[in-house]
Amino acid sequence: MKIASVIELADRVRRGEISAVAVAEDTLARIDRDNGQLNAFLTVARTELLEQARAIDDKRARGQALGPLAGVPIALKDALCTRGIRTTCASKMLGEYVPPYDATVVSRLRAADALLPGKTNMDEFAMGSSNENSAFGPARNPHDRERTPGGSSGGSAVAVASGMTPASLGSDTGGSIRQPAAFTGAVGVKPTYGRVSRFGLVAFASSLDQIGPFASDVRGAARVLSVIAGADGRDATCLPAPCDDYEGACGKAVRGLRVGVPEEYFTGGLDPEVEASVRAAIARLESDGVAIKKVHLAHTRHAVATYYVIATAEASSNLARFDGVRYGLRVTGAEEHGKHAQGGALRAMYGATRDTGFGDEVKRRILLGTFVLSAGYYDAYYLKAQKVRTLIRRDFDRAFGEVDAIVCPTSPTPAFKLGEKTSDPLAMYLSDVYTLPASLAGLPAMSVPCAPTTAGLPVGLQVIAPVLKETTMFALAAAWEAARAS
Amino acid sequence: MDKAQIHHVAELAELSLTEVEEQRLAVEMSAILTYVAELDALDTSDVPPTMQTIAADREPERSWRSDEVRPGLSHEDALAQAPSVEHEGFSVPSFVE
Repeated sequence: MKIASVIELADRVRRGEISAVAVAEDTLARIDRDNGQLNAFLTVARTELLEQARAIDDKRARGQALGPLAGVPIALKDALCTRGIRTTCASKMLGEYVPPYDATVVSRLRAADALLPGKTNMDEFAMGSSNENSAFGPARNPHDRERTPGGSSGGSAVAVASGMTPASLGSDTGGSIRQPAAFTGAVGVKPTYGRVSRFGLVAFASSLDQIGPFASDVRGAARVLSVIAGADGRDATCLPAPCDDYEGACGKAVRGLRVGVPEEYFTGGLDPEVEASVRAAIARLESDGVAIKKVHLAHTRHAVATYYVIATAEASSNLARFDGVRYGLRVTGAEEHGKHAQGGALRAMYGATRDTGFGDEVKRRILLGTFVLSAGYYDAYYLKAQKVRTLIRRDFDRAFGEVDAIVCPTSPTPAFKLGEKTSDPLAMYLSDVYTLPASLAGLPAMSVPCAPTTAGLPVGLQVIAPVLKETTMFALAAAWEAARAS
Repeated sequence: MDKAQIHHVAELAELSLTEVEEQRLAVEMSAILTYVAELDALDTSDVPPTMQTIAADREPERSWRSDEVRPGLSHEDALAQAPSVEHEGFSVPSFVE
């Protein structure tokens, strides 16, 4: 049975047509039926879910008004801290970690009367594009279980695409919401950098990380974003600017909107079926009155190199906290005490804990990041990348002088096969080429499904908007979604 | 990057890698750094770096929060996940001989 949308479900629970407990039980039945095959959830919080559902039903029975996500099950990427519920980041390092507090987004979902069924699979510490870097095995694409659902927020995408939950939260550092949304046929939104509080999100790359929603439709994603967005005293990078009416933007007329198509996103490496699907969506928008215009984002091809210097540098610093002292795994490394001239037993413990706790990709990125920040290499790599980042930002500034939004493919290919790119880290990095530029520039961007390939694999249309212009992005995505359905 | 360089960087990062890991990572890191070197082709002599994207642009909109004492994590909660606790504190192996 197809799952109801976020909006429909919240309306029905608020009207009392269905109880939150019934929704919770249905969600658990869906997870029990499909999760064994898809590995989307790492932790299912059964007891807590049913408690939440009963509390919502009691609240309604007392005549109290219910929140905008009343009884809507929302799966949480396992990088978001949940008080009393294991939060692993899909790493052995945090395999048994139980946070003593909720992330701000989690508190806001609770306050909006959402149901929180559990924690979803991901690439370890959000480092990856296929979910294969999870210490708990990859999540699988519901359209073809031999294929990746994308990453890093793969489990959150699968939860929505397979109908286990109508919405979920992920985090996007270089495309980790948009690419899995494209690969699984879900809607996935990365808001403007700073639009959503990151308090309680396990940090990967702090100048890039942003939390955002997946949903089965555009309006549902808009509603979830409206609940989680906005200033938070616990995250100094969270913007104080008031939030716009994202849900109201869905359904707004797009006639006359100027939309740019960047030529650099349609070059070598783009799968012909993905290109045809995206161009068909653009042609349809044009026939509906959108003014389509060519734009240039000349530095697009430098985004991968720029990103993998900046993100790894920041990650090497953020992941220094995992040292076996305050939380997480500790390995004593007794056999290596003699290796260190100073602080023998302590440094042996650090080294052994980190070597045992981190997987290969995480170690690779920590090493790369440590190297590009190390004495003698900082200017040549890190500073250079930060300067190229400026060039990438300026490309967008120039383009947004001429257009209101940009549309392009989310990913150069449909979902690839599990194991296809695991032996070649660079090939895996290059699969992010279309999502990285908007991340580096801090822009809001989302993926919305367009026509699938002949083999039935989903394809994503990416919509990129200027800073804090989420409303333009939602209006355009909703217009395409409506056109496609008609 | 050779094995010796990997070993040095791993020490900086407090990672005790095995010989096999060092060997493999030397090959992989060299490939990645060769790819990254394509950035050298761009002239950035007059370009300022972007350390922060949005927050820095909007500095005037930001304000300091009031300096009030508010409850934080309790001592008990803060220690609850520690691998080893002694005398109500985090305990680590000895580091002074």
